[in-house]
Amino acid sequence: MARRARHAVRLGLAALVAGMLLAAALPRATGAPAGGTITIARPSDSVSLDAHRDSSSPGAWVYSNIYETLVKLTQDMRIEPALATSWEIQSTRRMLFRLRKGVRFHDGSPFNAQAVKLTFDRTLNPQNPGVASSNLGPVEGVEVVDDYAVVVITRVPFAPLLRALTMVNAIPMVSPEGVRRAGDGFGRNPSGTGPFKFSEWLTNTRIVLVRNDDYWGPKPALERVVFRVIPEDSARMLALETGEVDMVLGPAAAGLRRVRGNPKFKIAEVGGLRTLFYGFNNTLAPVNEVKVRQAINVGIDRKAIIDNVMEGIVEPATSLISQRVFGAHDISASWAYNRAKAEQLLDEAGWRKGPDGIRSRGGARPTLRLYTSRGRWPKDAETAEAIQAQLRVLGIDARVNVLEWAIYFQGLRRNAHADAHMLTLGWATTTGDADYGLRSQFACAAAPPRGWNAYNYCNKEYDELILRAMGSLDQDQRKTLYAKAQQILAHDVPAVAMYTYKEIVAHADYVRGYLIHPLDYYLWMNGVSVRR
Amino acid sequence: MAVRTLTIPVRPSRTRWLAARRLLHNRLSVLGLVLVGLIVVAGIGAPYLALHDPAAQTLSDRRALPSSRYLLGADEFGRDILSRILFGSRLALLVGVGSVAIGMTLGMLVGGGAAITGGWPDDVFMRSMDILLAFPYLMLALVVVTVLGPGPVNTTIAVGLWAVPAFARMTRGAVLTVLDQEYVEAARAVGASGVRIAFTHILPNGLPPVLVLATLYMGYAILLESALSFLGLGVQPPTPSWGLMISTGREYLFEAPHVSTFPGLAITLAVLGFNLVGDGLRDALDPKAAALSR
Repeated sequence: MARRARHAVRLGLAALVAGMLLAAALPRATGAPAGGTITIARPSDSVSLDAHRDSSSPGAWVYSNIYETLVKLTQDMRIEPALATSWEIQSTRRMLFRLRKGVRFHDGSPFNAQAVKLTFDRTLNPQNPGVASSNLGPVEGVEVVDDYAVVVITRVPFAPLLRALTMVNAIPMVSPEGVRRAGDGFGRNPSGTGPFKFSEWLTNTRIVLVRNDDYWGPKPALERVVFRVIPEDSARMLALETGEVDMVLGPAAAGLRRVRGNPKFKIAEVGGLRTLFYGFNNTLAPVNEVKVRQAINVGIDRKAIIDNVMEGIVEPATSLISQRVFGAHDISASWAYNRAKAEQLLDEAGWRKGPDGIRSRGGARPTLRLYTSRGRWPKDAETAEAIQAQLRVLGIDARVNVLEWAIYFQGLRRNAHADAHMLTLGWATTTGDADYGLRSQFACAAAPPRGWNAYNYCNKEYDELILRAMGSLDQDQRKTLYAKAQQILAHDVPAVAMYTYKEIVAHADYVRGYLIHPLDYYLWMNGVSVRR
Repeated sequence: MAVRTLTIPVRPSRTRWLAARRLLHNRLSVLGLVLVGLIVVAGIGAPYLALHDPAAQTLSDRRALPSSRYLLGADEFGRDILSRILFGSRLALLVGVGSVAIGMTLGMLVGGGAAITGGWPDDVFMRSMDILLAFPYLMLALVVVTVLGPGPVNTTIAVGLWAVPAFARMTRGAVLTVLDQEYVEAARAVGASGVRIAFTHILPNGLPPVLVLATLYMGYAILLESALSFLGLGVQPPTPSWGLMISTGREYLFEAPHVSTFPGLAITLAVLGFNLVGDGLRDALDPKAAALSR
């Protein structure tokens, strides 16, 4: 009796399991059509889907599929027509753009010169400027020529203009009708011209985009794009491994090491635009001496750090800006690792090693203070710790000071870290043009809060070169000027360049056609399909 | 000789000996004493016991497994974990002793003062201690460290401040009990000064429970220091701290569990050691409790 009952229970359980397996297999069998839905896991939710309010990656990842710009920056960093089909320079301060015809916003209103003008007016409104409007530099406004032609006017000659106009998080074309109707609610009811339309947003849970069937360009294959929020690094990667999501943004190094080599997953990576460097306080002893800075520059074994600490998430830096930035010039030969030369430079400057191996000069035995955040940029504090150990080998005593990001950031903006000898900065030249990196980091006039020169670096010759390059409309001449400027940096060493971060996205092998962009704001889904 | 020693039976020392004997008869307390002894030896002898410089990195040996070269393996920078644990015990002990000293001194002043004066100062002091107690312990320490900035001294102060209310309460209770005793009344009756009464009668008789608490709090203090370091608010790298070692090794938990596990084990053993000694001391110093627990 009891045995039979047990048998029945077992049979029932087996049937139940079989049924569950069948049920699980069924949707697979009927199968979503090629290019159905892709689910993407992000570390945090967008603040707004209005670039006017949110210029950060979690916002731009989503709305780079909703909005388009006049010109676009391709994955290989070329400028291509988008909503503007052609452009010509009218004078040093005026550039004419001819607009694409027959394009409609998602709300049905037409895209035309008036829409471009209203978009610019909204972003440049001095009472309520867009959060990333500073990327537009001296752009003054737009003049409507006819329905499909506008002139963009700048106060002074501004060579990086075209690149600035590619920035989806600074100046995407928005529907004036949509802005008028939604007002402040536009960020939750966005309307652009892009390949995907906004569908729904559950805060901190998901954002859903659907295909824009009226898209002017090649129709996207995907029907739906779902952005989920999974804050915990390991949980995000586990969601990919269990098939809960198809793509992971911001994958953590530990998770990457786990899925790398597994044929079920692919890792899309490309050298990005963010370069991590250590800015010296160029007026604080002893790093106010150029020989000391040069010694540290050649005395740091970057390869050991890149290979052992960073483990595949960076590539060697070639300058203080990423090599993919327009105008970047390779000065990495100036910091080829040479411990003997570093020691010689320090000896020449009079810094002699004592019995404990630490250098001093005339009773001065300085301890360098190296400020860093932990986790703002991947492995920032770990790199600082490795450098500290390497400096010690050179006879330089250093202390790492790990600060909470908000405190560190405020200090940078107010130039308040006066006692720091070295400041960590992971700088992304988001415009893709050397002007934004070289001018706002190292120009004399770029002291905070106007710029980011918290390093008290000032070289008139350097300033002259980058200001000329900013105003020149001859791109070849600009390259030459920037090359010269970077050679000055190679000699002066206002900062020690370490490495350039890669942009990395992990996805399932059945996600096809995804092309990663060096600038992490762009997560274009129009070429992507899903074939399970 | 033997006769002479027998002729001077000093009462306090005999009870002390009795207490020590009771402590040594308790197996768990002995285990605790051994653990605490190990940590003290490790802390004092770290420079002689450590085979490697705790800060020296050999990046190519990152996360090396335990071997004859690195007995407990190497961490993410290729530093010897054993050497770092040995040096880390110095920090744990220093923060432990320092913070308990702060907590005990302030706590005894507040609690003793409150008990002796009584009236409204008693209320004001003890209610302010209650306010401190109302904060979750980590929160209070976090606030203090955030205001003062990270570093070993500030960590010690933060942990010490957190310990004040417990000592204040314990002291107040002990002092109130002693104040009721006949010998205090007798001392008062013969005209002994308040200071004299406090130091010759109240302090020696009120001290044992506070000492027990101090031992227990050594363990808690080590744990709290580790928690602060784990959160990145304790000492700054490359100073070895057990909490920080666990924190940075967390990322490699799947591939190299030894990086976090060994410092974690060190914390466990240290806290266990001080707790066992504290428990044993309580039983040994309080004959009634000891009898009950048996």
